[in-house]
Amino acid sequence: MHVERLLQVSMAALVTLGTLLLGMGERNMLLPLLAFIVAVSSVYLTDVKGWLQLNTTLANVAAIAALWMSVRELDALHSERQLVSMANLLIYLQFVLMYRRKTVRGYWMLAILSLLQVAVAAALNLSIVFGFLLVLYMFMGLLTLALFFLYRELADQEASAGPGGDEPTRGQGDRRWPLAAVPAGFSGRTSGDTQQPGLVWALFRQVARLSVVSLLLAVVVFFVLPRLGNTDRWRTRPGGTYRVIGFSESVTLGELGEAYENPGEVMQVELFDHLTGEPYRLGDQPLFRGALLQTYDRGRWSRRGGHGEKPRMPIAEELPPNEDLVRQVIRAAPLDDDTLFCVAPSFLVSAGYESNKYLCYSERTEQILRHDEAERILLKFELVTIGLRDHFTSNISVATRKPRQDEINQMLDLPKPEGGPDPMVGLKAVAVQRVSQIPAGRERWAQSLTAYLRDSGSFSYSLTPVTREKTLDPVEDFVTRNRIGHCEYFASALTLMLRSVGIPARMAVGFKGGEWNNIGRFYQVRQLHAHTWVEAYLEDINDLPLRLRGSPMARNNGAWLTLDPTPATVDEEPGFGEYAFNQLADFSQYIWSNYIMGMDAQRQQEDIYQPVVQSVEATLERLADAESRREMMRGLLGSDPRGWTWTDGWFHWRAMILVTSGLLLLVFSWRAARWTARAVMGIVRRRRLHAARRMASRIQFYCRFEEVLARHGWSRASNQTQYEFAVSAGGQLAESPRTQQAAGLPRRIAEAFYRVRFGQASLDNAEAAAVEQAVSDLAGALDTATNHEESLSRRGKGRKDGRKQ
Amino acid sequence: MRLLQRVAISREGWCYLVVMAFILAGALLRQINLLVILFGMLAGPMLASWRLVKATLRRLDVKRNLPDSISAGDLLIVEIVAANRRRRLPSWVVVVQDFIRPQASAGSSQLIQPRVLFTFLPAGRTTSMTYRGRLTQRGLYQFGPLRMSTRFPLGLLWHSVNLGQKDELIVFPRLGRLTPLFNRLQNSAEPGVGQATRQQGFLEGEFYALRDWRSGDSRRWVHWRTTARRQTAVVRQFEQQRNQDVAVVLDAWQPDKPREEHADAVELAVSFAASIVADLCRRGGRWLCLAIAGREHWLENGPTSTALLHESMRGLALAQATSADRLGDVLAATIDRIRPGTRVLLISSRGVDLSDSGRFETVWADERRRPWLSRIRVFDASQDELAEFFVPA
Repeated sequence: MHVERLLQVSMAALVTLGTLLLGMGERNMLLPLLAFIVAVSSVYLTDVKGWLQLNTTLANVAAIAALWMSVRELDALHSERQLVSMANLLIYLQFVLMYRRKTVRGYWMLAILSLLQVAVAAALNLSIVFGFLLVLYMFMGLLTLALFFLYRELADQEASAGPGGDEPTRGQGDRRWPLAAVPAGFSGRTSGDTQQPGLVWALFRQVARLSVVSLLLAVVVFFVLPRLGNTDRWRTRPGGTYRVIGFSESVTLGELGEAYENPGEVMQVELFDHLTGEPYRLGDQPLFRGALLQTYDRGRWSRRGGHGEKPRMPIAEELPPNEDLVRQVIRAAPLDDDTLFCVAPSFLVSAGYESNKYLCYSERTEQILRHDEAERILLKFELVTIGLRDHFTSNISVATRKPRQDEINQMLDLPKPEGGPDPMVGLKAVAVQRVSQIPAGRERWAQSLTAYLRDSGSFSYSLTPVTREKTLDPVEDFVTRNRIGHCEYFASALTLMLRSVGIPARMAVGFKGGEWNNIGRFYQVRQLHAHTWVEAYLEDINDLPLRLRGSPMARNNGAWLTLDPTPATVDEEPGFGEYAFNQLADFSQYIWSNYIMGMDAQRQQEDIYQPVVQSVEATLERLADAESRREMMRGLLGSDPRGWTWTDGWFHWRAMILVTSGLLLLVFSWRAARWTARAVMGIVRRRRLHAARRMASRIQFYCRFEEVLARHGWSRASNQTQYEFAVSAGGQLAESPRTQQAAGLPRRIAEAFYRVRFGQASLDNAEAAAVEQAVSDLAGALDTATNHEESLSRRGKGRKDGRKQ
Repeated sequence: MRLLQRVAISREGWCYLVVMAFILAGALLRQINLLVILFGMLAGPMLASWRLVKATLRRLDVKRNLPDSISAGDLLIVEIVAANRRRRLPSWVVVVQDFIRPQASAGSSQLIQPRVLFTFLPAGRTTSMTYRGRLTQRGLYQFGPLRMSTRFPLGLLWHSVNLGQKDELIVFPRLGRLTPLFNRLQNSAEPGVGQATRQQGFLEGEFYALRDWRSGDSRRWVHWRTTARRQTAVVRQFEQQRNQDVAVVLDAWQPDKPREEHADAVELAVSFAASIVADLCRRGGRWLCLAIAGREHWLENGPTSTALLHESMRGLALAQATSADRLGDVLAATIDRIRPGTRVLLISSRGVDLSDSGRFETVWADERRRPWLSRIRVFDASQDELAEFFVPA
């Protein structure tokens, strides 16, 4: 059968796909490969050729073997391992079933096992590829179910066919009447030739439409279904702990190497103008600062002491005036470090996300940190920064606090000679020589040294490890001999050069740039964007630009000058296709990470429920207000509707859309109302029907009572109540000595009827039995009386005939 | 008129729901979003199925076309016509189930449920299908109500609509073969009885009877009133009749607790009577009287014609055996209705002794009726001798 063959192929594909999904979760590609081989071979050998079909005994033995193998894997007490062994059992059972002759039950079991297997896979997977494959699996599953359903209906139809048009066969035994005991037999036909390819394609199209609708419904269900807490707390991330390869809080020169090429995600950053709420894209590459390193010792930078306690980040009471405020919405992936990254300096504002409560701030290290409670979740937080100006990174920003003297001293610290020559003699000489050519001014000196490293052409950027002179400090070697290195060398050299000319400086570690996603309008920051740069402290008011000189905060605290001495690298421009694909992939990953994997109770509240409620509230408020309504109309129609005249003779397309929408809304409302009314009426009707049926069963005794009397010629007149009829019947019964003893029964029955029918009472068992008995007694009495009368009449007739003869 | 709609969850649907509940529990308890997606992907098809099963049967009209008559054991072909009145949405996999309920007269209580499967019903098109089979017992059968149902697209939900279309079909007795011996017996002149012939005819311009219209009949012969009543053309008959009239009396008796042989005897008797009536009506040219002594008396008298055949078959189809002995009354009534010279055939499911004056008191007591008793030919269907005259099919 054509449909069955399609079902067999589809089922084999479904099993393979399900196993692939599970294999991805287990990071075991052997099982999917095996599943593919089993699927192909079973379709050919078992379904098409029928050469290999396990009988029940063999199948049972194989199933027991599969169970034994799975139980053996249950050694580990780890929940994930248990899950995996359970999933493997499902796979083995499917393999066994694939080699059996398929029946309706067999197909159904395969489908259910595959579904359960995918459920386990869903608990083990995190990647977006799984998401895409899950959609494919859904389509495949729906197609298989539809084919299975069609196959089953056809099989049912075949099974229901009796002898049909065959000549009737002689009945069992030696009956004289040939058709005796020959059962009637019918067989129905099936319309539509299922072999027609057109029909199958029509089914495919129908399933495709169903898949799209189902997917949309799935999305709705996914976003609407309430979450109870944070996601995936129970799961350990595959591959062990989270890693940040590009970033670390201490920098050891020469260790970085090719680790910068890691494309792992760090965060997505959306920037908005704080006043207008418009997305804010930069003309250059933003710097997301994480750690600040002050202490340098023989090629190793480290921060000043630990973070200390992690107090919650305080909300900024007052923001610096006359500054461009840019809002940053950051979604930070869970990493093995609690440092968070943002454009500095940043402030927490009161009307931010609820998840901002997970932000901590270490005053000692000036770092924003992730609270321990939010260690393993994708954290979405919101900050406001003054570090951006006119869509560019501001190279100088006000210091939010004045550094203490010991901090300034530390930022001026240079490696000391240890019984030998000054380890930084060459670096100092270069720095002094550069600044000596520049007029006095710290800001100018700093910019000059930066330009020397970045733009002079004497230094080149490379991620390739460079062999350094072991007797020299790596930075000294970088400045004086091997002038090649990556950002850490450039930043280290600049920091130490600034310090050598008396400018307090520190090294900033974080990420630079990221990929701007045009679709989602956000920056995708990856590990490979890790970067180091320099912050120089300017205390003297004369060193500050004019715009900051008026700021009291700048006058009190000074300012930080951001310097990036690393030469820009020329990236290979991707082709249009690659660019578009990358953009789409990034956006998909963004959606996947933030709105699928990261959808927890809090995010649901913030991104789904609250916006919906707010939008509804706002719309209702606007609709309630006359001016807002007019504004809406103007927005919709492009002009004030009061100025319209229908006699102008022009065609207003917006009006047409509005009217059409209104009409559609009316139709939709009408249909919805009708549907609701029908549903309600249906419920009411069903209830009434049930009540009537219940009542009918309860007053059945009275119906029998009337039937008994009707058999003897007494029927209730239409103008008689049940009670009147009963009384009247009782009176008539009392007139005859043979029915006199039953004269009281009708009244008793009628009273019971009234109690049940109109008193809404129900008879208990004894009462019901008594009433039934009364009806029977009445019937008996009437039958006896009638028989007696008949016998009398027959006897009288006989006597009359005898006299005639 | 649509009476009842019902959407129910199929067995597979329950199984599917259990798996869904299992996945939802895992998703909520463990907070695994991928399981929530999977749950959504399972819930989506369920909801879509609910809409589709409802939509599939909407504006779908189904009706049944039954033949006018049929004999027991003959092939019955019932046409089911389905019209999809929707403009866009086709219907898939619609099962139309019929219910055939034998009524009391059919002697069987087995409910038959034939079904046809419409795999695909394009929008705006009408498709017809048939189911075929054989009803082996004569009698009255009630067809309906029709029930159309679908489980499309996934078989998880089952939507059925009961249509209030009910029809009745009378299954005539199965006809057998009359042996040559019976034919000879029928054609031979009865000793001592003058052959009664009728000499009415068209040429004489004397009305004789009504019969169905045949090709070549003049329009002037149409009997309009009867034609209007029966919805088929009926003409006045003027043919000359020269055959002997026949009266067939069927005694459908069986004891209170009948055994198989009693039931067989009744059916043989009925089939024999039906075969005789059919044979006589086919030959035409005589008067026929059919009387049935069963649970209810039945008597039909008239010139042989298709109309009489139909009525007789109907009477025989609905005849029910009884344990009461009503043969005497029926025989008396028959004798009162027939003309002199009519050949009387008594077919009984038991042995009949017409000389029993007690049993046939109503005949024996009447001098006008009594002479007939000697001219009645009795056939006992309970005996194998019947095979000499009649071979059941």
